[in-house]
Amino acid sequence: MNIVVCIKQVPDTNEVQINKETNNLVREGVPSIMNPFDEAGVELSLRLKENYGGKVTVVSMGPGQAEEVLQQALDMGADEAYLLSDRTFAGSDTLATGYLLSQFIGGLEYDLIVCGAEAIDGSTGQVGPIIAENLNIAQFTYVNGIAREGKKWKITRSVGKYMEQHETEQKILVCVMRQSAVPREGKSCGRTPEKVGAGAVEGLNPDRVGSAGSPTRVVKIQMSDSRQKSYVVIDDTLPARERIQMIINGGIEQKAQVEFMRGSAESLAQKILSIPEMSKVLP
Amino acid sequence: MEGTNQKFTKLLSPFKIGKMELKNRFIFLPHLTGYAIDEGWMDCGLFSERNIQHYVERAKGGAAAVTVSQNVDPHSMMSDEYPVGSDPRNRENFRRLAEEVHKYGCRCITQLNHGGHNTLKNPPQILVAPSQMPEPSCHFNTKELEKEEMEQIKDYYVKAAVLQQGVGWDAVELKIAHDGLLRTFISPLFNKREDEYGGSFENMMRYPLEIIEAIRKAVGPDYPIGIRLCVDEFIEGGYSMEYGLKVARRLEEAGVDYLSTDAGSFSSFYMEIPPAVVPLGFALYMSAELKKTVDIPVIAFGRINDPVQAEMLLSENCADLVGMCRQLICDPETPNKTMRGELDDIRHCIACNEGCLGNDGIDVECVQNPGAGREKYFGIGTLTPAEAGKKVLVIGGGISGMKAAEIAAKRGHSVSLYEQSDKLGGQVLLIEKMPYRAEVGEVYRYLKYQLKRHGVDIHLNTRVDRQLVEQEAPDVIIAATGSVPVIPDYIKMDEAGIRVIDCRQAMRHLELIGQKVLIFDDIGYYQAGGTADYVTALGADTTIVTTSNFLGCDIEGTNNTLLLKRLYERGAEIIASHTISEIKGDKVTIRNVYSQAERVLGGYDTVIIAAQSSSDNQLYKELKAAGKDIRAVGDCVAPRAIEQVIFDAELAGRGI
Repeated sequence: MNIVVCIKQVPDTNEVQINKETNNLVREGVPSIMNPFDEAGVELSLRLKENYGGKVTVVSMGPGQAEEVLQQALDMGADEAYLLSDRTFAGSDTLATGYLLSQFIGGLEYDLIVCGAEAIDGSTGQVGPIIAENLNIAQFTYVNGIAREGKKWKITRSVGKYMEQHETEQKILVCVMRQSAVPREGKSCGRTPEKVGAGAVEGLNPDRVGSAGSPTRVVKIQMSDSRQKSYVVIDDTLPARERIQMIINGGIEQKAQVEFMRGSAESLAQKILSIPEMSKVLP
Repeated sequence: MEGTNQKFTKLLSPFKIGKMELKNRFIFLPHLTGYAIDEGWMDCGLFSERNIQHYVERAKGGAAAVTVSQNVDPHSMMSDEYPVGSDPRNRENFRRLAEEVHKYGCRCITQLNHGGHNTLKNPPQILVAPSQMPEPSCHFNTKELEKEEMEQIKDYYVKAAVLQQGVGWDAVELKIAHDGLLRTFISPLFNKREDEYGGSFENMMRYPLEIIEAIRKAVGPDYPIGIRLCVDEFIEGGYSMEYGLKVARRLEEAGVDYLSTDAGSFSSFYMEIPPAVVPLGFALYMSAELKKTVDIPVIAFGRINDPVQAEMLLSENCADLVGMCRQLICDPETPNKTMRGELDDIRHCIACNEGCLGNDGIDVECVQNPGAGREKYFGIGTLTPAEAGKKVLVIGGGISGMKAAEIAAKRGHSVSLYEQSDKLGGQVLLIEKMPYRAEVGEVYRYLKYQLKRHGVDIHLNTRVDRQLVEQEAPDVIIAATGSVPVIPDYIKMDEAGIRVIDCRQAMRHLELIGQKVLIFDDIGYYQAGGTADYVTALGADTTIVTTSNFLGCDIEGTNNTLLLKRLYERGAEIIASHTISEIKGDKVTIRNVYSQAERVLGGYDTVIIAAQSSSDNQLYKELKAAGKDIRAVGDCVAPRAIEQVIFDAELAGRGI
């Protein structure tokens, strides 16, 4: 069983600031890390390998510096690592990156491709699906877990409140969530990443990579106002008394009085069992 | 080292308001201290040594600026212990404050206010307002200001600003906030004038803008002028945020250098000095909106008591600077501890309002920090190592025992503490179960951390007796054995009747609380009010009988107002000015304390008695009689509240 994991080196967005004049990310002095979603992907792949055997190959596209994250994946236990790095790749958007990665991975032996559901710097979540489309294989997004049973992949997707279970025997690509696995610490190993230039990717169309192959134009970046805030906003148009109550309630509207049950453990258990709704959930 | 803590990159970074450089983002917000000297008519409001010490302490603790609240006009005082900013007799002490504060790289900002329709004096000589109308919560009517008077007041503002600029203060702030004259001018509820100072928005803004202009002319273009702005009055018929933002825009146009967020009014004083019922950071949305509305710097306020919270609000772009008032009263070293990364060492304000507000403007103290207002004796650097290390045995792991152990251990004594139960915290373990009182748990959380940090040897589940004392052979014993609640003997009871329990039993064992509950209050503090809050929240049908004229007469006002609101909303019946004479069967006979008229209430399954406790001092007396060096602290001396027992313990710890 061969697993290919796509990873990306990203700035640690906990530390990132926006330059107020240019509205660009300030990258100077910001530490680079492996995209946490991808880190979970590497971990999941290593666990699959440990349970079912096989080989884990890690691929990244980026500047020479991105070797750091590939080395980290090797140290965690990956078998091989390739860095697609070439001056002609510079300026690639998600379409070009997806094309390049699919071209390279298409030349490898693989049963499963693992991508992070998104990268914390751009959060487009597009590269995985683009690779799958280019390779014409099935894809699963928002994946929380993956296991092998005989010839089958068993995939768990996390969708809103629900967990979906899927099964397939085909070659697939999965985009995994960052909380799907806690990555292990690496131990320094003798393996090193191999650098791959444009010439070494078979059948690569130079017009489809780099700036030339990238239709995306970033018009403006600014701090989003819709980010989840840690404070509650109170409707200014409510009467004063209601504004105060909303603040005290932490922004939650109180709709009905909740009925309290009190008593000893035994009597409480009896009371709970006698609630009509309980018959629906109890066997 | 300063500013090197990676986690607080924003909070610890410098900032500039105009040309005023601030070394970090911690701003000590203005507040009434009640420390100025009052020697009667015209000799009041004198800025005292105690005032100076109070602000210098916060500068020592690492704040970037201290804001000193002042009255401008000696004829219209919030209180006679409120410094008068325009009084030339204050010049020397103002100069000394600036000089002292600057030694710590801290800025000194004056906040000027005219009491207007508000005062803490009861009754006041005269209150003034744009139109004749009292604050809705106040019974004292006002005088409508005449134009000549307005000119005089304006002169006082200018005089005060110039006086303080002259002695080296760094900025001036005007209060258009929860109390005072200027807000009433901009408020459509209070300003009904028909001249050029009322009616349209521009007219209502005129007087504050004239004052700003006059001050600007006097202090020059580079001296920062800030406004503490009430964004939402929280009064029915008053203005709310949209209007507040409109005012903010107009102030920015007028050349104001910064805005400091504020909310509430005397009619909603629990929003201006919010007790723990009001969530942490409740006003951040107002600061965030201000920040979107204006380009000048914004100071956040409102239950901000932790550097992590402060860093988060800055990174979420709610404000440029973090205003803390009560937190820095409680722990003046919050900024320095943040720099050192010693977050567990920070003593968080629990927003109980008992020390700082409960004294009703007499003077600001702090329940947890005996050094607040007593900086000279208990401030930073006053805790010195003991001459000789002694072996200290503390009996009791309640608040006073823990506090005494902390202080003794910090002074280098070898301290062991014995607690008979399985937890440290004493009565606070019951208090924190009351609705909205969980934050009181910080009192023992902080002390527990200090005991650990300073190597106090803690023994739980161990009752101290004479034998153990002989065995340990300590040099000094601290008796912190607490108190036990007493059911008054004037209540006649038949044994077979209703379940009668004391308030501590009720808080400890909720299964003892029935469905029809009568709570008797003969103490006026949280023992009854807090238990009633708990019992009604559990859904019990509750009657509260109090011997006082109203329930919670000794509970601090912001807390009690909201407590009474909750109790009445949950349908509790409160009977004031009555005592209990007899409990028989399910009937309770109550008696009016004035007329002695009796009434019988019935149908109860539980009666909870909240009356006095009595000191548990048997062991103290026994050991003292045996000639031991033993000192009592806390309830063991006399049952009291947290502030008093912590003060006891601080003294005892320093006395060893």
